[in-house]
Amino acid sequence: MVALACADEDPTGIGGPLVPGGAVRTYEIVLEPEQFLASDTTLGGFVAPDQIFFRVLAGGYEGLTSNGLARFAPPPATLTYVDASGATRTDTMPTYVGGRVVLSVDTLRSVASGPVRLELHRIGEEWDPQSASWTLRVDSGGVQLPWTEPGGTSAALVDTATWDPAEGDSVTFDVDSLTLALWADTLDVTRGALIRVATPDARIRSPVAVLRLDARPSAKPDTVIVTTVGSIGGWFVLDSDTPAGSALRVGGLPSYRSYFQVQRLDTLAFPCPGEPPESNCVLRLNDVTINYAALVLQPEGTPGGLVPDDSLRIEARTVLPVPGIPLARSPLGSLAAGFAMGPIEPATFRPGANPGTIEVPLTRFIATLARGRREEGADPPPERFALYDARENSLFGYGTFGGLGSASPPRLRLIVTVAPEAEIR
Amino acid sequence: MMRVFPAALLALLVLPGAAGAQSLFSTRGLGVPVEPVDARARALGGIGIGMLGWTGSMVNPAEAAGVYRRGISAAIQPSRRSVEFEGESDVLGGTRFPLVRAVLPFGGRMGLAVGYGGFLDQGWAVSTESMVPIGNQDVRAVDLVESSGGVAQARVDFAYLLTPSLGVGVGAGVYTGRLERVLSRSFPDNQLIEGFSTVAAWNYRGPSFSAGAWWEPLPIARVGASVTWAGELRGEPEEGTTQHLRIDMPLQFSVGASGQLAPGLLAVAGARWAGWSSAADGFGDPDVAADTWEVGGGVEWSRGRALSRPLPVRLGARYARLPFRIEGATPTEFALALGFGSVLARDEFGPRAVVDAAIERGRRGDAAATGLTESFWRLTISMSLFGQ
Repeated sequence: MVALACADEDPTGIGGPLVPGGAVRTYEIVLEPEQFLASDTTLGGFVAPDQIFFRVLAGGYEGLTSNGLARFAPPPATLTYVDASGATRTDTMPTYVGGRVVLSVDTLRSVASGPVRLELHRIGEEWDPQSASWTLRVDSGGVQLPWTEPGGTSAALVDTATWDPAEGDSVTFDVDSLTLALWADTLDVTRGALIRVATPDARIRSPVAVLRLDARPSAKPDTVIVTTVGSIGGWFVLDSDTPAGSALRVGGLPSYRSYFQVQRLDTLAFPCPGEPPESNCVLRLNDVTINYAALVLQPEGTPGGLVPDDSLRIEARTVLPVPGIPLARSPLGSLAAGFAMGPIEPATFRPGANPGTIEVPLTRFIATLARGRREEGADPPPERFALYDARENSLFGYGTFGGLGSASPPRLRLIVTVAPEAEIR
Repeated sequence: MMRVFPAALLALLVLPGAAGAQSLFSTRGLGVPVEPVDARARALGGIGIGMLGWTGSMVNPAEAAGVYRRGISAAIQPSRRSVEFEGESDVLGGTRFPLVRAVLPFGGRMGLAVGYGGFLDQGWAVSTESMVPIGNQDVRAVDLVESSGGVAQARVDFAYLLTPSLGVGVGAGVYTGRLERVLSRSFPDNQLIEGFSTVAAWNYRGPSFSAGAWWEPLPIARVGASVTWAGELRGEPEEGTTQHLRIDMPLQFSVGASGQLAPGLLAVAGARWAGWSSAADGFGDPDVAADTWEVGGGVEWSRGRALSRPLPVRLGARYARLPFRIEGATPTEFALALGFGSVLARDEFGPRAVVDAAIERGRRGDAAATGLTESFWRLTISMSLFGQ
């Protein structure tokens, strides 16, 4: 006992033994899955290709192959330049004589043991930048057209380039005038660039790809003007199948969310931990105050190529089921806890890493469930929650956890507090 | 005159009771008594009965007889306490509002008084810190128990002047009030673990009847006595508890006398007995409460002056036993008082506004018997305003 306050109107830190009534007691309870969990499942596909703003390129990195796609904006029809007299002039008939595709590299989120050779191809089939996947060049719901060559059909190799992680944070491909002319034809539905990694054991993350164009003004053909256009669609496609088994997955791309349905909690009662049986001390979850509740998950190895390329930031939200709507499309509700958990390092999910458990706070959600339905006719509290990555469209890779039926299924850790009924004595 | 009204109105708006952490002696039973007396009575021993001159105290319903101007009194009582318990010490503070009382004379013989005053204070707050084992680690927890409220008394008195030297009165009232006790635990070192808090509250209600008289055998002497019978105090649970309290409230006798020893020198003495042992059954413990005695007295020198105004100077002393036992022992209280008064405004019939102040230095408890002692400074300021 420590004196805590010496100021007016504050409580005194002395006199604790004089306080009437019993002591406040706090207990820890760990529930096994069969005590609280009705079901769990993982669903994917929450991020559409047009919601991605980076490319991941790999040529067999720990089983992962991923190609970049890009459709560049057409070259500008007019060009503004400054002539020898210093006057600004506009040319409406420039000639594009060549160019370069410049791929910037996120060196912190890329993995390569040495120089990486990359190939730039022209795409040889009609494709849809908004829906193309590894197997389908068009996947617009009503129309599905497969690539002749999964991962993108090449019409011609344009150039090769090498990115050395020790030297730079970009890689440049030369683009000939024929290719530029083909990519400038906006009526050509095949136009676009396909980027492949020819070196295995490398995974490159590229946030930006641009096309730099060398133009000669018609009135001044001895001068080269460089102009830049960006990509207007197409990011990357990867060769990845949904893993089999009961494991739970949470992560960005491919985007997975794990859904849990919790059993009724307000009827659960447990002997007070650490109290002798003759004390008849029982904790009923609808009577106690839940100070902390967390889902305890055991990380498992994610297939190497799909280990997150940055920290995983898991958030938990209630799921608001709507009759007739599939679970994947059910809206998410409020946060399951009043605060977010800390980031989980990517190494946690490396095969063979053998990390400890992680806890996802669910205090608010579990406390609401444990209180039960307090008023007749009131809506029952949500009994489902979902785990997802807070940066679903900016993180590549996902985390894997043991699910129901695995050797390390989810458990629920509770810290609860009870106090005896107040009396005047 | 105009400046004194806002202060008086402010005091009137504040219900008699307690604010802030008051006393660890309040942790037992129904708390510690709060005497509904004004600052003049406080400075003269605190019994508040049988005093020559105006008193706004609620002790004797007969005091409304013989008052020839309508008036109202209110008091405020801040205090500062040094507490020692089992070798540790702390300093507490708090403020009470022990009294509001209005008197309205009828004709030449009758008087009606309405008063609302303190009776029992249950304000205290204790914080303790401990390491709580949670799983395989110990987490620092801070427990806070806060008790606020208590029992107040509201009473209507009717007094009659039988002769110019003898007044009698009766009063009927209720004990009322509310007690709220908040128990909370926080984990200041761990932001993930949310706190715990629970509230229990009771509402108090109970009847009381009083009768009293005063007699002035000589123009320079006055004696007074009163008796208060109280019925059962019911503490009904409002939230967070199922405990129904049924307390037999004590019969109380108060007697006092005063006399002019010399021109300008008044002596006052009084005593009060309360049968608090009747309350023990309500707690199921015969040792929880005991009958109490209070005695007090003092002298008033009324010919003092300052700033061209009369400035009465008062000295007093008081000894009391507190009703609820701690560690099996009955705590006692002893205090010395110094007081002053001043007439802020007057007309040809007498004072229109009077302010009094009393400062007490006292001590409660016995370290050897209860392990708990308090020494305190207690300031009481009261103001009385009178009509035409």
